[in-house]
Amino acid sequence: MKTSYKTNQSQNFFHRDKKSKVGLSAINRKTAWVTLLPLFVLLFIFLALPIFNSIRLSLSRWGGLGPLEPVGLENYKYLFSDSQMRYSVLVTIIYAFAVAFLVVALGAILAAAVSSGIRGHKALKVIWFFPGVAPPTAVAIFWSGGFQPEFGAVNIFLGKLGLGSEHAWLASSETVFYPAIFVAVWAGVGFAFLVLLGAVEQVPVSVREAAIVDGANIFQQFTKITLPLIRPVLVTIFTLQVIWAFNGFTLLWALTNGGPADSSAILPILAYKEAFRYGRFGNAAAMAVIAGVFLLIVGYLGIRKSRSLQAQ
Amino acid sequence: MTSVISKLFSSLSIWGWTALVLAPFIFIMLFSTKSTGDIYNKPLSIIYKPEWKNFSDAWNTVGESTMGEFFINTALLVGTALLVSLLVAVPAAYFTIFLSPKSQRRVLTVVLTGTVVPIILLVIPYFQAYSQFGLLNKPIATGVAYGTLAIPTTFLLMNRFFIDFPREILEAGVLDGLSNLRLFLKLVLPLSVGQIISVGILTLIWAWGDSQIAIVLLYDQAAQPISVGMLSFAGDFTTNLGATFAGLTIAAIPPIILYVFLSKYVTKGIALGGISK
Repeated sequence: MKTSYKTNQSQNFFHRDKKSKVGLSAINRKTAWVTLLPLFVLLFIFLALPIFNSIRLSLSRWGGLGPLEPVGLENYKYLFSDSQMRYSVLVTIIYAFAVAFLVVALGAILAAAVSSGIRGHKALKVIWFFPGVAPPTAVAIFWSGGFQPEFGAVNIFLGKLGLGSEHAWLASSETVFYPAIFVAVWAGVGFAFLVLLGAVEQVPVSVREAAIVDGANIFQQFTKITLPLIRPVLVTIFTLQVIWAFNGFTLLWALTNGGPADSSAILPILAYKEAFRYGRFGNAAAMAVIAGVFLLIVGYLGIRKSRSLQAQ
Repeated sequence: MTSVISKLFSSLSIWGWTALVLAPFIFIMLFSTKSTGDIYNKPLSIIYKPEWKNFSDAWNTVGESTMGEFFINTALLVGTALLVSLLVAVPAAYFTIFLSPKSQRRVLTVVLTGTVVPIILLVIPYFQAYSQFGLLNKPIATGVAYGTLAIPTTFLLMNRFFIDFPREILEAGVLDGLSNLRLFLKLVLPLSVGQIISVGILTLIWAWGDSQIAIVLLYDQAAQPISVGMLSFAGDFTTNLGATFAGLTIAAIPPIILYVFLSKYVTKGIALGGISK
């Protein structure tokens, strides 16, 4: 088939034998459309319609009640000249890419370490995903205690190392992103690890054995053989992590509330406050549209890159 | 020599990471059974008089609302989300495999687009619509939104599973005189339980933990789920420390216990999902 989409062999399974004695297809095809109808209706109501409404709202002024007042591109003009908005865009991008990079790097290192044959690795697969299973709010509340000066676990640990135990990590706009990135990475690595381990285990053993015969150690095996082979998955998971961190309202809201003084307000937090604290829904919708466009571009580039790597 | 170093490095990273992952959970559980005084004075000691009252305090009295109320709201929200996502996406994912390849591709493209829509674009219109229809502060109504947002992923993972479903089994069912619908209900569904559990757990973990939508649609404290209600605990590290940690335990334990029992399915599901994308 001459399509860019890679079709799975088995996808055509039922059609190759349309004429076979077992008439699975005809009636099921009708059933398929019947079952797809509620799915499309729900996706339309909860995805398509709201996107349209967001765009409309971003071109209006609205205080939460009553009719919308159309204002053209005024909200966007305002945002592009607003220093807090520019700061937030920058900080959101840095935060998202830093978290994604660290999550993927750590996930890959751990996947390599486990795949080199460690006893009890089934238990590790289960345990390492705990931080991803626990509710982000609970995780953030625990760590916000851990980063308190004096009695916080992190500061006690740093104090023992002679690095000082009085850092008020979350209270200063200069340091607030260190704990934020740390907690997001801590919570995110488990998922990346599982996906990457799945990919690493697909690398044929014979390939790795050949490398061992050639005298490659675990580290070389990993960088020279495993990593290049799992590049499409690396790109996909990196893209996903960027999108998730960029959208990561729950964790950061519980950890910092966007503070101090909006210094850790990534776009979803800034938009939330703009709408639900200050009642400027039009501005907030414009922020959401800007963020949405950015994420769609990231997602599109990520999928394209991953596809082209797969094709190689 | 280098092989020794790299082995050392890999076991160091494995044990170091395991310790970092487990430490918070151990602290939370340890502190949830200690009195506030003990937490300050002998935080690491494992010999102490357990303070079980922390749990009843957290369940009944922390903040204006209680952990007990938050818990019920979360259960309603997550239950609705699971019901909506599975009831709608699983049958559709199965019957889609009978469509022509062209139609299948079109359906997949539409659904795939649904996985990349950022929530930030949806929250404000949701608030608008929910307030218009008087659905704010109703956990079940919010659960429908969560359920719908879980549909694309549920559909894609289930569809992938059904595409690889052994065809001989389907043919045998047809020869036994099962109608198409009965074939799905009696034969295919029972054999798909593992995959459904794995996808369902992913939805549960997300809906249980997310606050981005719930904080907007369920702003009234009596209607809040754990993920939002617990925010009133944040920063409250001075008064009743033990009860705060007991609250964290109550919030985190149900998804973790479920996950531990069903982890076999979940880890497999994630590995498959990652590759299929």
